[in-house]
Amino acid sequence: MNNKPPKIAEWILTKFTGSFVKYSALGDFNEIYNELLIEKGKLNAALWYWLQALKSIPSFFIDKTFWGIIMFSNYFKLTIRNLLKHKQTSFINIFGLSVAIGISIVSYLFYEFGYYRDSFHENVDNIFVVESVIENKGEDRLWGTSPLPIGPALKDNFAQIESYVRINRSRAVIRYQDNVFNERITFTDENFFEMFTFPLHYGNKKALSNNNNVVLSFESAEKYFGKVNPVGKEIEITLPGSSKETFFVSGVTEKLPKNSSFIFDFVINFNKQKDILINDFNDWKLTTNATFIQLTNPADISTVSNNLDNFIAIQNSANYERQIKEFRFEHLSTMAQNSHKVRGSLVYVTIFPGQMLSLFFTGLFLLILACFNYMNISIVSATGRLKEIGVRKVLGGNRKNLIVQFIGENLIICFIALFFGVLMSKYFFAPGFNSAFSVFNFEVNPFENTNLLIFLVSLLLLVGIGSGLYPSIFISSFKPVNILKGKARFKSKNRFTKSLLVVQFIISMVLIVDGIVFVKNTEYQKSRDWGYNNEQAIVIPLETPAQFNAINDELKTNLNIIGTAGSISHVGRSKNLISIESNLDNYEVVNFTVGDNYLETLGIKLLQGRPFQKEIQTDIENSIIVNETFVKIIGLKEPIGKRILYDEKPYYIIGVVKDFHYANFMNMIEPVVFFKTNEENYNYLVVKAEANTVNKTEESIKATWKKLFPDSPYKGYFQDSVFNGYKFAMDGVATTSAFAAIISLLITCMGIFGLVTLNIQKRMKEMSIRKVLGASSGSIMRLINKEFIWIFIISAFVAIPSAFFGVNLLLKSLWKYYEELNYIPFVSSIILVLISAGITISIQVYKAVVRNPVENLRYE
Amino acid sequence: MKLLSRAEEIVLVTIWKLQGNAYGITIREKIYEDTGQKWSIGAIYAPLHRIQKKGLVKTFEGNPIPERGGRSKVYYEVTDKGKKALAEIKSVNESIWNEAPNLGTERS
Repeated sequence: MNNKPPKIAEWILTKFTGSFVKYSALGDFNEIYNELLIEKGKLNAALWYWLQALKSIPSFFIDKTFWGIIMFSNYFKLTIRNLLKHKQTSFINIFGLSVAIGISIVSYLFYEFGYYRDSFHENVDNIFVVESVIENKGEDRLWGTSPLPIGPALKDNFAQIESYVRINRSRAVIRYQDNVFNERITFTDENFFEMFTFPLHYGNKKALSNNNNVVLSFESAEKYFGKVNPVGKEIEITLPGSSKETFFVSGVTEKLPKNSSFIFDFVINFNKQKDILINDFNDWKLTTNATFIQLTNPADISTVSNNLDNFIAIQNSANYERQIKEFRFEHLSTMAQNSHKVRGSLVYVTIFPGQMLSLFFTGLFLLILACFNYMNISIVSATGRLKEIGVRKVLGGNRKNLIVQFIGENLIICFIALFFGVLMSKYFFAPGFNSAFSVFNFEVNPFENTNLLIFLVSLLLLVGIGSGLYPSIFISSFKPVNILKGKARFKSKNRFTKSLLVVQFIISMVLIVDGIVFVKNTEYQKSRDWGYNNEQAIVIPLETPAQFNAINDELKTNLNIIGTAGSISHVGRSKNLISIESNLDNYEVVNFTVGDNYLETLGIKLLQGRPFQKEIQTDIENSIIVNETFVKIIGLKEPIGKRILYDEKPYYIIGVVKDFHYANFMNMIEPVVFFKTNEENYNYLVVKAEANTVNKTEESIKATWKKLFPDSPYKGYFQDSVFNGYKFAMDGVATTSAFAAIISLLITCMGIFGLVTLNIQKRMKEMSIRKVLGASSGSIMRLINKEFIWIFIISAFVAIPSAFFGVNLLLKSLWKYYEELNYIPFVSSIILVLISAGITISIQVYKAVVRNPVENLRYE
Repeated sequence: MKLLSRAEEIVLVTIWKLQGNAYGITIREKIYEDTGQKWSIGAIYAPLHRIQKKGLVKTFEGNPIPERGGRSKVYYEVTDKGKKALAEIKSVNESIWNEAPNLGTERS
């Protein structure tokens, strides 16, 4: 007969029965089971046994929790008492850790912004954006733009594709009553609001069904209509190349989610472009800013992308200059993350891996510094708690209990630090970061952002256990007998403590080098010559080319104006890439189409040849001016008179200009070609003012404009403000790096401060005896400082090469034009750390040394 | 001496009544016989543990038997201190009931 009770139930009972009655109670259960087996059969017996097993579980947990809470409250009380007893070291630990955690939170938000955008779309898993690979001089370049007809063509040919959405962007003048602004407009297909999850505050998903409907973003609606529901209101929109038309507001979106990778202000039906911007929607020569496709099953994307040869053939035979090698499909969830590889991407804030890494390392480094402080201080201060440890051990606490206790204590400290860290980042670091870089809008709301909460909890566990493990193992290793007899002693020459200090010094030095380099680099960038005269130039974008002559005639009377010129595309404003052919090779070049005097007005220096001239009619048809890089890359020995092909038409080089920066210093200067155009096509008016009169001149131009064109918004600006956004971001980088450097130095110095204080307390007697025996204060200070000098020298030897390597890499990844590294940041960093550490140590030692030795030596 | 709780008292009296044959199961059954209430095993062991800690009972082990899954029975025995306690309980109980008017429920 099988008289064994059910195994699992028995296991549960053995685990969950209270320990003191376990043996006999388990025997009783077994015996009753056997009796029931005979009386009522196996099923009944088993059921009864299971019931007992299940009943044992809740009481077990109640029991555990009860004692657990009592134990925890004891630990908690001890921790708080310890913290309050050693106010100075507690402050160092908690403050350092809070700052580090606060900064880590910002770097986490940065990471989240860079890698996890667009997740709010319900269809995010099924949406892909079409990208084109175009080969340029043996290099594959990825483009976010796509041929205009690709969306409909894909949908017609693949049953797997549910829908497509094309996006094309432009600008337009918008007028409602007296408000006239030039705004970003987005043309897109009717089903835009069905594919993407941008909930509408007013209106419904069919809001784009009419060609003369317009959907506003929440912010734009507020700007024009205030808090009123604007649906049904009429606004006037002047689309480029068209005249004023009435549109009806048919919807307003909710505020766009902060993690949306693309933004929009005014949304208009894609078909509205017909006969205005686009003549033929089937023209493969035309491109659109982006095409999204939505698949029923995302796995089908490989089927689609493997069967595109005929579309590539159609596009390539239609668009000779833009030969597409292949189409790629980027998943919507990774579109923002990979946008740094894509040219002409729809993503409006692109995060580069270099930026990501530098923020990641800043956060990590500061955390390491703070954790090492904790480890060092808790090891050194362990001597103060030796009695407690001894008593605990004697009373039956084993090593495991002690380790759990100390790690638990550390977790409490970390939790306090986490709390302050969240507050610091919420009210200080995140707003600071947002104001240093205008594009970010980070908010610290751990209870609304689950990912952030998960990050914080993992950070707590990682930091709490990571920094508490070694100290707790170390502290719990003392033998109780030795402790209580007073034999156990903390070794003052602890290698572990020293190596932690070395790492801290290294990190501080590296971060300081980084900070100095970035601050200096910002200065360099600001003072770097743009290669043309951007200080005297005022630029006025025109609504219509006809405005050019009208205002130009008026401005002729202004004596402060040295010259004026017009252009289709303007340096610093547009970067139009075209493909030209020279000696049978295709080259991608930047193109500006400009009028007479444009180069002279902007002060772009002519090195060879002649400028465009009004008298020479052929200049418009077949003359170009190129820059030095063009000559170098195409490899022309004597450029003047050389022929290139563009759009299958020949052009001859008539002049070469000095290289100039048409974009910021994060971009390489590429080959540039100037074509000539005449007044009928001008989009821009460029004015060169007398030096020191630019502000006054701009005022009078503005007045003239308002007089001549009261219906058009005035959008003039100074040419040297073109890269204000860039300069602002540069300042942001410099500020944040300098801030990180200062914080790292602060945390390290606080750590040294704590360490030295504790060390001195322990060596008080030694120092007093030395003093009594005749040692001078100076010699004692040297003695203590000597230990740190060695640590410092070793650190410097490691820090300098790693800083050189790391910072150089960072500079290279962020800028194409920067100041080469020199010795100054490195020397300054060493001196700065040496002085700060030296002062920190000396103050502490000095305080100890000047005390009367009798006070320390006397018993009782 | 502090008075025992009702559960402790019942368990202690039962052990005394069982005279050497008191272990988990028999205690439970005897209580059922005397009071008509079916106590759970846990309900027996909690007071049992307490009176053991107070030194009123002591344990000795029998031989391991297969019905108990190879475990031995743990027998309980009333100590001298326990006997004193029992005597005190008895006198206290009697003095409590002393002078109490007849409830009229007992058959005479």
